[in-house]
Amino acid sequence: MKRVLRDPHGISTVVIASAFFLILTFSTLFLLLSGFFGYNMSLNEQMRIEQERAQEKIILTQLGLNENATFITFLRVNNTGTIQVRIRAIYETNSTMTVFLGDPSTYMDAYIQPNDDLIIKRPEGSYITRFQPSAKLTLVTERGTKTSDFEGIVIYGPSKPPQPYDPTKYYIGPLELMFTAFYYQRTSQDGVLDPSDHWHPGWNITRSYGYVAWNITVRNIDDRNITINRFSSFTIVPNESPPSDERTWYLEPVNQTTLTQFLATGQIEYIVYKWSVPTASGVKAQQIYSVPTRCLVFLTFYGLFHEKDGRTTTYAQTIPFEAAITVI
Amino acid sequence: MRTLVNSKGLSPIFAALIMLGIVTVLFIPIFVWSTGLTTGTQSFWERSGLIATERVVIEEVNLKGGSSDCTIYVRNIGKTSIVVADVFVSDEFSGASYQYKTSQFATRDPVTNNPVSSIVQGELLKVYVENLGFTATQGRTYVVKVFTERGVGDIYQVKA
Repeated sequence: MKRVLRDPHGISTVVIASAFFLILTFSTLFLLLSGFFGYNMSLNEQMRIEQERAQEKIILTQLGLNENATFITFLRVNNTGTIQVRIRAIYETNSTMTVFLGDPSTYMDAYIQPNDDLIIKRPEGSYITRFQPSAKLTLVTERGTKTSDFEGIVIYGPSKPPQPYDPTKYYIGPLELMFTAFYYQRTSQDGVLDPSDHWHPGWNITRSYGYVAWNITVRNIDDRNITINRFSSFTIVPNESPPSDERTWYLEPVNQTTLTQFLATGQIEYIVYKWSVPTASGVKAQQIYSVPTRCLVFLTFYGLFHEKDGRTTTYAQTIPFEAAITVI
Repeated sequence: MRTLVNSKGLSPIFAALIMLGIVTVLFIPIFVWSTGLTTGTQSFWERSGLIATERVVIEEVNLKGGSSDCTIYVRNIGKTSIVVADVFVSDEFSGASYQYKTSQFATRDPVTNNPVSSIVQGELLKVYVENLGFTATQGRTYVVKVFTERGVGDIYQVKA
């Protein structure tokens, strides 16, 4: 009788092969799933960032000026959102450029808790920037949320809807003068602002300061836009003699093509005067007196009203300064 | 006394070896295919994850009338480190669009002004295009777009 021997390894080969396939399949699945779960976690993370960003809200509420109102000494920012924020950038935009003023988190704790505020000051008493009423300040958080406002509006208050003229108030006409923003700066004979000089408060000026430009700030409180032309001027009249002559500085037009400056209704703008005669090619800047004196100041504006129906009507206005400037 | 000799004693070993050999040979293309697929799929998810967490915002743009250069401030608000790869500037009035590659702009840290190529979450990058190839017209609106290497970007409208 022949003995039939059973192969004891028959099943184990199948088991090994199956186990091998199973391990391979599961490892492949694991790799696939780990990639997918990683992606899912990334999506959740991004959704969390977006949710946090949606909860952010900041408002620029206050600017501090130095005694002469020439520099911004501090900014106050309120966190009106529901999450902690960190201020990471300050920008200033004026008519010629947008500049990065710095990252407050590099020199101070720039975190703000919800319903709290932060006063941003430069270290060692240095200033944030020069005060320019028509320039726009922008603050940005780490998550990219922004707040911005015009420096003049933060200082002087928001623009109000045009009101009927109030005869008890001291203004005559549609341009309201901002008395606290009045400056001068040295220029060349050709009217180029001296980069080594800066805007000084205009109430006192040193005699023989040379060619100067004057900078005043106004708000158009009319309900119509206004365009002023190159004949608009800034005149000083001495109270005593000498000097006996009055001096006039004419407008430096913002629009060098039409030689005009546009003043939108409700907006605060600054106006610069430089020229000894209404600007044209080859004109020279105007100089200040070489002797000490006290002067009255008169602002005269000429231009156009832009009526609602598209027509333009003539506009003229004179503003006598409440205070005089002194040449010392 | 009868001695039993199992003439099939070695065949199960051979059978198992042959089977393993056949399985292995057959599995090679499947292995290659599945590995490639897995790696490809995994890298796809990883890339998608990176793109999903990549986010930039243009905070400010300095582009004024009469100038032929432009400064763009870009902040990384995503989880992924980013590298700016492309900048586009379009003139809304004329419809002209200009593209600038990495060789045509400089990227710097706006605080230190040191050159930097990539920024992490929360950091700010100054992108300076020295020569736009045109002079901006005062009062005209321009659209500035910035894109990262992975194609994530942001758009900003600026009046020169």
